[in-house]
Amino acid sequence: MKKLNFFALFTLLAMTLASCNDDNKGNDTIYEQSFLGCFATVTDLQNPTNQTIAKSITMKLTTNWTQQTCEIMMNGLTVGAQAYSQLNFDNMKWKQDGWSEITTETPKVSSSTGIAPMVSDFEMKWLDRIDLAHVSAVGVYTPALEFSFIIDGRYKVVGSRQPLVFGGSTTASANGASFTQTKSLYSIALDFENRQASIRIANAQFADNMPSMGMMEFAGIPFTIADEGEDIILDCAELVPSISGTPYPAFPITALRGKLEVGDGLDLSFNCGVRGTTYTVVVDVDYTSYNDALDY
Amino acid sequence: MCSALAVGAQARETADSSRMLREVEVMGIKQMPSPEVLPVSRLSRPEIVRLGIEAVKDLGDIVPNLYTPSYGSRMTSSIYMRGLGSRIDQAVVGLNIDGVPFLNKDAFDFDLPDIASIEVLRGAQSVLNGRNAMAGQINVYTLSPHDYQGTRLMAEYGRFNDAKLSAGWYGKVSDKLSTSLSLYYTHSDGYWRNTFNGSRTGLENAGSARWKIVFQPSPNHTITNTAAFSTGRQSGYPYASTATGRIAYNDTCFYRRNAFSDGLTVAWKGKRVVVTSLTSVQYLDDNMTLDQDFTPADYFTLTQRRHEFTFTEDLFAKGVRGSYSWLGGVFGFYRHSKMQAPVTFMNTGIEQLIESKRNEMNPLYPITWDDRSFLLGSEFTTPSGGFALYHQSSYTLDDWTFDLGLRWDIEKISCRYASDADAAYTTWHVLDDGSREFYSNTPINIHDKGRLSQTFNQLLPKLTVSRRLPFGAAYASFSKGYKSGGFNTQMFSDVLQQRVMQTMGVAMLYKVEDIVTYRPEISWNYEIGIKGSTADQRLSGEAVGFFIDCRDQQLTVFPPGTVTGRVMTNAGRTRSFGAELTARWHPANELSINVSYGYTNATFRRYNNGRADFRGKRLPYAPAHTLFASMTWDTPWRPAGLTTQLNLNVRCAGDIMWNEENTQRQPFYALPGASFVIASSRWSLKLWGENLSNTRYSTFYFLSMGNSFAQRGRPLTFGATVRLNLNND
Repeated sequence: MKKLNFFALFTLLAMTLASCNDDNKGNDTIYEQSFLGCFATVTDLQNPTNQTIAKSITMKLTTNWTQQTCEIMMNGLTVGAQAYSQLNFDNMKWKQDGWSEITTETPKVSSSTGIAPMVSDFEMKWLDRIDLAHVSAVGVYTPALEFSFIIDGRYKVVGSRQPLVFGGSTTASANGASFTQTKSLYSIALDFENRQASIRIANAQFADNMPSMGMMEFAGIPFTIADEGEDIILDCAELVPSISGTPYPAFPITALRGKLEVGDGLDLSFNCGVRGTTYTVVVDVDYTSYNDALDY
Repeated sequence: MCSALAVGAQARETADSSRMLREVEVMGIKQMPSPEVLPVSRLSRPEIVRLGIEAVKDLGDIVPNLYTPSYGSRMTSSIYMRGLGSRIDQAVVGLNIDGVPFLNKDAFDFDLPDIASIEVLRGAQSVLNGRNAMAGQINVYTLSPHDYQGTRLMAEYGRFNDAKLSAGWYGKVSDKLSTSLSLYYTHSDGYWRNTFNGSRTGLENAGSARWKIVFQPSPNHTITNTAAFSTGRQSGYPYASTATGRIAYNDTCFYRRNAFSDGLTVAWKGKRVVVTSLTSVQYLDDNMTLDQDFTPADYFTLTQRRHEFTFTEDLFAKGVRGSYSWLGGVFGFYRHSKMQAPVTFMNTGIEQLIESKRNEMNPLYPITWDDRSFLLGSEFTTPSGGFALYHQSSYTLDDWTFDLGLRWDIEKISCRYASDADAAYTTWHVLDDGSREFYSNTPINIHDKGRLSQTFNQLLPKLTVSRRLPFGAAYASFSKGYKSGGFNTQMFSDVLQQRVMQTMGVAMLYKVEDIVTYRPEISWNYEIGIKGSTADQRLSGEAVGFFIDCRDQQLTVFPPGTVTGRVMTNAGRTRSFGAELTARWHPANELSINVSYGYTNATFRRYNNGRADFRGKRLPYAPAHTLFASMTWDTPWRPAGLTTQLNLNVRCAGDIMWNEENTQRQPFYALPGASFVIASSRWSLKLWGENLSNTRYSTFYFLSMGNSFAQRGRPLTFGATVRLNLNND
């Protein structure tokens, strides 16, 4: 049933976000789709402490399903002192095997400013899906995305799209007992201005006999960026979660630690106090398991 | 035909004939020619009149191991046989009226003033009767104008203003056409009062009409049509708190029902075969409204309105050729039910069940519900249909008879549901000084819709081997029975309540299909029996032993992660074994003594409801023992040529476990009764009394929100019944 829902929704999205182009490429099947809300960490490889964040990147993909080629138009990327209002990556080979993937050493790049950077080690992958858990019963198109490349042999660009939505296993332990479930789904939003992350957990549940917490949210989690933008490290000693928009001081969260691998998933651990019992929660979630959890 | 003649002969006797001391041999419309060896309890018209049986519920305890507690309203027709039964949804015992099957257990409880005979087939009867006859089958036959002509009037009055009036006219329009019309009215003030407002609970007014036409164009063709309409309204429900012993609730409770049914039987009798078609349409329109918490506080109320249409067709043939006899047929049905079941939460319910649960979790940010009443709306449409092929063969070799039967049953049931809730709540922030400030206002708008569907496929075999003995017969039997699956629509309000709680952040994880759907329950039945009589027929008896292995039992469990939620699921396995003994003794022509005793030991072999393991515990609601004893004496006192008859009887049942933990029980109880009849050939006057010892016992027990409730059984009642029987011949 979920599969049918997914395909129905995806068809709808395909109609709204993509269009079939029947231009001078004859009978080729060509789709266009846009990724909004992307971000990228730009690391100066000569001085790795010199990092900047491009917070408002949009991408438009034109995929030729007949030729298995792809063109990307990227807006909003700033590298060093150079702002690229538009970068075009042309005629790249792509393949689809679950994920859509592009890997090319030296893509053909042009820029709207006329100054075309030299791009190397271009990698990009994306996975279409709909977030049914965090947004509404209807769901919202929330693709998984990761891209990375090097500009001018100096600046490494690693990016993704917000929010980052994961599924997988949640294991909670207390008083020597352990409880594992896969119903909890995680959505992470990053506030680069304040370097704080918020995690929204749909169907949070830490014990077999505990009711579901509905939509639990951990806000204001400080984070740092590591491994040239590949990882985001979460660390928070204490916070008050909110459930369905209301703070719950009775369920304090302590010792929250996590590593978000932009292209992979999230490892997270924290303690949650519930009615005098402290649950130690270990989360191991990724993009693919989210689809599995919703039975796509 | 043989059965019809038997009924007719019986009907021509006076209502309380002193000669009618033994059960009349009535063979069902759809039975093998020689089922006599199997356990069948039959009640003739005189016994029915003598014991005041006018509904299926009145059969309880008289038939061994049959328990039909009378509680709630006429919608709650729980029937338990041999330890099996169910309070809600599917029945385990089938009911046919003149061959027409009634598929909905909620419509089983109605009065029939013109019952000619009743037969109760004990044990699985699924080969011929299909779904929901896994523990037995009750067949009721009404008087036929083809066999009896005359006018029958009855008036009864008893304690608690119990009054019954019936009038029936049975006549022949021509040699080929006969018709009858019977009217019935009943009133009762009910036995108990609601101490909250002094109103009577169980107050009832009901009436019915039945019109039967029998057309026999030739000796080989018979067409019978029976149209019946009934209407009634009951105030309810006499559930008393076990803590206070008092019935006290504040909201309106009633049950109203209008029902119509029409059954058309077309029979053709050939030289070696009889072909019969049974067609029926049934319509049910009812409304159950109740104070769901049964307390003086305004927690919540439920109204369940339903319109249901049912069509059934059963086409079968049976025949005999030497030592071989057979019966085979096809059966199909379609049922369409539409139900609205809104639950209204009121002030105390919102406070105790929603706000306090939520605020306990988050006292620094408490919520208050904006309106002090709101509706959880639910609407269901459940169409279902089924088809079956069945066959049973019987072969007799010397003293041995072998019966083999098989039925293939397929059924599809769907449920379209719509659940709605519109409300809003305000969240407050408690400040350090104890005052609180507005934090947020959250609307709740839930409009869920969906469709569920299930298909069931069952093969139901039966094998019986019997041997004729010098004094009677003995048999061994193996059969499979099944109770249909379906949707427990009562769970939808739980689902919706959890959805509301989920908006506040605390709820269970529900998938509707996991909560409300349940699969068929099946039983494997093994039994042996012996029956016989002395040469002079003065003493006869029957002994039966049975073992039932019931699998995929439909039970209610608490799924992991729940606070208040329940799930109907196929979680259980039970076994039931027991024995049934019946004896009939005529020490003299004027004296008859009947005794029937049933013993059942039904326990869970597997049942973990998520909170406790009940393995080894006895099944609730079914009695371990049933006992009925009756002595009927045609007294020598014959004033002015009248006949007189005295009947003394006692109905016993128990003990009954009221919960799975087996911590609450109704001990074994006995209800003595008596009647004295003085009669002429045209009229009779019966003085009667039931529960003469005014025994205090319970017929039902349940828990609601941690409070326990019980319904007391009927107290001492007595009255008089006058019958006028104006035969045309």
